[in-house]
Amino acid sequence: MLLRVENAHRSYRLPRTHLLRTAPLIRAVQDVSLTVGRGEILGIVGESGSGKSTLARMIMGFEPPDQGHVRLNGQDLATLGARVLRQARRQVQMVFQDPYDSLDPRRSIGWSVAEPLLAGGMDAPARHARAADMLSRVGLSPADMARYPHEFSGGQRQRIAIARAIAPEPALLVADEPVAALDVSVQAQVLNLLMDLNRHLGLAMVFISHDLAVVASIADRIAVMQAGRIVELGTTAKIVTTPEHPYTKALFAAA
Amino acid sequence: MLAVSGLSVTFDAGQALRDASMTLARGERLGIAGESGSGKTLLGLSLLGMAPEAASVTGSVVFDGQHVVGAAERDLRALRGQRIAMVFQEPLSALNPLRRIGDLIAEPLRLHRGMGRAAAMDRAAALLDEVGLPDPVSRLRQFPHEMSGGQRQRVTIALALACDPDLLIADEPTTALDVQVAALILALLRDLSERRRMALILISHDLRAIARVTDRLAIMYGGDLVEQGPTAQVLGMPRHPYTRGLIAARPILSATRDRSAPLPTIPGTVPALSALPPGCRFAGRCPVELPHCRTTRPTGNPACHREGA
Repeated sequence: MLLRVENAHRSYRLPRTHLLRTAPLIRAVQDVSLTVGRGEILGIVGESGSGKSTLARMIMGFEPPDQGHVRLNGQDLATLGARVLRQARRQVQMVFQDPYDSLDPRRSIGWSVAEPLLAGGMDAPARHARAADMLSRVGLSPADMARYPHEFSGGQRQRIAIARAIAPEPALLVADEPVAALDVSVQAQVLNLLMDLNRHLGLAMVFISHDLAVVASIADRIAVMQAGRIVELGTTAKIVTTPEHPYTKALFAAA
Repeated sequence: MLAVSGLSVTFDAGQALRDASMTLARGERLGIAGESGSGKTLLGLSLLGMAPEAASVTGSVVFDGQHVVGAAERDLRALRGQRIAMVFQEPLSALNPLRRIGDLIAEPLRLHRGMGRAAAMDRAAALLDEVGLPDPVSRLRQFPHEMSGGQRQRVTIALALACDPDLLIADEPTTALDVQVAALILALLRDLSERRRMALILISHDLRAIARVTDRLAIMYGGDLVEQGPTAQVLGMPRHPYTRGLIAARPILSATRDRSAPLPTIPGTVPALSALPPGCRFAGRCPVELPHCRTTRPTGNPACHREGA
């Protein structure tokens, strides 16, 4: 199994509200277990505060679970030494919601797409060639490499962010609300691009969104999160036709 | 009640709103839908005479016999808040964080209606009750930060209702909210409009939200009103190629969707203000474009050389 999350928990302390009392504890993720196979798209749907972004951060190895395990290709990320962890991390890349914040405004987009390759020991011409290749892969022109992020629209920037994420040839892409900031007419373009990468590169994905319709249009399976827990997990067809948990039903009613 | 005719708003970079015309009757609910840069927010602001100062505004907006374009600031102030009120996307930035909810709502009542403090507070509590906030009297003492996003949006709606406006303009009122809370706020807006016979303009990029609330729908693209009509008709039988593309591109919940097939898309992106084509603004992205679309502006409803009358 490419990714296996086993009974993962994660809590945070909020700022103290009273000098003599302990700071309140937020249980952001509670007892979450899930798997993602090679080439599979797992959708995670939930509202703000449901713990879906905390889960994404744990999958990325940005923070360890308090309890439980996150295993990538069978290796527990928390037990790896710094060097091995760096190696493992290349396997997982991330795309964020805001394509305006996720690219360095003072670097050309060619630089931004090639940067993650620095850690892989490629020489400069090879990095350049690969960045050009990635840009064409996401529907942009290699001739755009010298241009800067502000010269591109939101949808194009999200394509650049995706090109950067797939440059190190990850096995898993974690996409946290990748189309939420995009206009409707551009959303579908980016979703199609992600599906295309999934099909042609065998790229597995954890696709996170608050929008059930968006998740259902791309995911093979869907996990519904509420208050830090997965309340329902099943194939997209199953969740869409016969949702079982009251919370899933409520999401449908509101959608 | 409201008549907009030939309204244009032009910046140095280009024309952000071009020759918009529409009417709104008392108690009617109109949705204005469009993507970012379509001019929908600018249209909403122009109805209140609040277009940015850098813009030149031409055409006319007449509300209940009063001209808005070119009116004195003093007359506009009387109109805003009293006859026309507005609700914005971000309830947190619309509410002064240093003032209690009761004082915030009482202020327009004391200013516009000359009410005393006690009477204004009673009225504020009644308004909070009307927008569905439980325990309204104790809410009066709370600060905005003590409430959730949905509760805050209810407060901004109560604030907008304070002087019993004839028209409420809500600009993306639910975009910052979770889906379930958003559904409740939309139901509240519809309900208030029906009960008070208050006209409502709902500005949103979300066609689903608009379908829930409005009777009529206007679609905007690149500063043009491209299509108007009854909401069910525009969504069910869209005529403008942009409207059709927008509806098709919306992800829908379907168990039978073949996920090996790509989703329908509108190719390209919305052009920048300075790069809008002189003819139809949708030219260049349109699947059924004619040779003169790029140069000649289409008029009518839908505003389209191919589909228009």
